[in-house]
Amino acid sequence: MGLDPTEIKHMARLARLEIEDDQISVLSDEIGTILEHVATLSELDTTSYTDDREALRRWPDTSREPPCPDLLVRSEGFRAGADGDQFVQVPTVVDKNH
Amino acid sequence: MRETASSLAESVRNKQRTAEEVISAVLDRLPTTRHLNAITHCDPEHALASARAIDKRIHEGLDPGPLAGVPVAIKDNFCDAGQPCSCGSRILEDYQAPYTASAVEKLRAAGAIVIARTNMDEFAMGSSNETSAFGCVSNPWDLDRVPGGSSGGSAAAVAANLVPIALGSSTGGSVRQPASFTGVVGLKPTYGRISRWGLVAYASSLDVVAPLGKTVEDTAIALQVMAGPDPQDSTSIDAPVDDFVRAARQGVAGLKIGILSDVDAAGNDPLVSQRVREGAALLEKAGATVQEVELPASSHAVACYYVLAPSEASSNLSRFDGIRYGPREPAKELDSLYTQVRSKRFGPEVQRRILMGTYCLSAGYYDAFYQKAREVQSLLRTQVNTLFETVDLLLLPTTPSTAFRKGEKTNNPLSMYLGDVYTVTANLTGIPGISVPCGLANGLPVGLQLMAPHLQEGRLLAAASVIEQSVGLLSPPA
Repeated sequence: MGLDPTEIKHMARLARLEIEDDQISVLSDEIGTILEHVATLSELDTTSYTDDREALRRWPDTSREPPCPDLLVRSEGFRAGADGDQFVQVPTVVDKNH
Repeated sequence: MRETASSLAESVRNKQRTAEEVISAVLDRLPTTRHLNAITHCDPEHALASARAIDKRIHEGLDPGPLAGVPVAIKDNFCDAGQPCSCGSRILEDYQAPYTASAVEKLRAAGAIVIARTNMDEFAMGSSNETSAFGCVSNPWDLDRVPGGSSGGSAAAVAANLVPIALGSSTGGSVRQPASFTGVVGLKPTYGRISRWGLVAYASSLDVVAPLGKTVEDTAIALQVMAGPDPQDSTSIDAPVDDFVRAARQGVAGLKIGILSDVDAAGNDPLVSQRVREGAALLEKAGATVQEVELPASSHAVACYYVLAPSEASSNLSRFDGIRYGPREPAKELDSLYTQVRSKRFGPEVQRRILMGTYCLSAGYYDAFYQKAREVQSLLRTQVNTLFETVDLLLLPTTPSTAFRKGEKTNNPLSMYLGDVYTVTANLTGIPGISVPCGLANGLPVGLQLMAPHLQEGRLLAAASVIEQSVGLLSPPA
C-alpha cells in the first residue's frame, strides 16, 4: 500500500528536499511498503515498557519553587555587575530620559 | 600484504625491515586493486612520512607501538585532519576534515600507518555499497557481486590482502555483514567501547567504531589500541580495557552457547545454515555446550531499526544544508538554497531514509512509529539480558545468504533491509558481536556471528578464534 503522495510532498518540504513529480509515486510505494512492515511492531505487547516520559513525569516538579540566586554571583571571577539582594544588578546602559 | 598485522609489526620492531619498505610495497600494490573500487583516497606522501617517523622511533630505541608500520585503511566517514572526508556523498565532495578522529589517533599512536580511505555506502546508509557516490565496490571473491555494506570498501581492502586491518563503523551491521560477504573478521564492540569522536554521525545512539581484520588476533589488537574512554565523547565507557589478545587465546571450554532457533529459517540459504551449524559443532568439540534458544522480539528488530535509525539520521543530516556543510548553490533565498543543495547532492537512499525519519517523527505518527520502536527496543534489550542469564554467548548466522549480485536488490529497498535481520539486534541493544568466516557456500564466504553481554568482547574473540583455527583463513581466488 503506497503512502499518500501529498504526505510525501509534505515530508519533503519539512526535510528540505525537492522531489521530482515522477519520483513521488515511486517513493510513495517504496516508503509505504516499508512502513507496512514497520507497522508489524504494533503486534508486540510493550505495556511493561518503562517510558522515558514517565520517568520525567516522576521527576520532582520544581516549577513552583522560588528562584535560586545565580551561582555565578558567588563565583570569584564574576564581573557582570554588582551583587545585591542575592541577584545581579545589571548596570544601566541606556538613560531612561532618552 | 598476506602477512598478519602482528607478524608484520614484529618484523618492523625487530628491524628485519623498515616501516617505509612495508608502506612502499603496499603503495606499489595499490594500483593492482583499482578494479575493486575499494579506495576513495590515498595520500602516499603522508603515509611514507608516517612510516619514516616510525622508523626514526625504532632507530632511537623508543617503543613504536604494537602496530608498528602496519598499513591500515579507514572508512571515508572518519575525520583525519587535512584529508578528505566525503562519507561516500556528493554533498561532502570537497570537504576536508579539520581534526582527527580519536580512533584514528589511537591507531596512529600504536604505530599504524593510515594508507587509504575506503569506499562506503553514502553516509553509511546501505548494505551493498551500491549507494556510494563513488560507485559500487566489487567483492574480491566475485567481481559481479557486492562486498556488503556499508563498510564494503574496508572489507574488500582486507579481503584482497591490501591491508591486514581496516576501520569501519556499524549502525545496524555495517561491519559484520561485509565481513561475512568477503570472508574476513568484523567486530562490532559494545556501544561506547571506542570513542565516536570524529566519526560522522548517522544514528548516534546506535553508531559504533568497528575494526575489520584478516585474523581474529589482528582484530583483537585493533580493538585493544582503540578501546577506552574519551573526554570528547560523553557516551564512551570508562571501563577497564582487557587484554583482548590474551582473551582470544582462552578457548571456549565450559562456555554455554545459545544457538538461535531460527538458524534454519525458511528465508535462509540452506548452505549458510549448514555452515553455521557446523561452526556450532566445532565450538562444542572445543568444550562448549550448545543449546537452542529463542529471542522472540528479534523478528521485529529490522522494523524497529528502520524507524529509529532513519529518525536519528533525519536529524543528524540536517546540518548538510549548503551553509554549515556542503557547497552552496545559487539561490534567491535561504530556504531554496537548503533545498537545492540537499536535493542535488544527497543520493536516493539517503533521501528516502530522511523522508522516512521525518515521517516517523512527525506529529500524528510519532507515537505509532518512533515511540513504539523505542518500546520494542526496550523489550529486545530485556529479552537479550534474560537470555544472557542462561548462556554466555549467542550464535547465529551473520546474514541469511552469501554475497548477492550487484543490482539484485536495488529496486526493492525492503528486501535489502531484511538482509540485516541478524545484525541489527546487537546495535539496538548495544551488545558486542563478531562475524568470523566459517566456510564457503557455492564458492562464497559464509560468516558465523557471535554475540556476548556488554563489555564481553574477550569472550567473543575466544570463540571466534576456535572457529578460525578449525576453518582456517579464507582467501579469494587469485
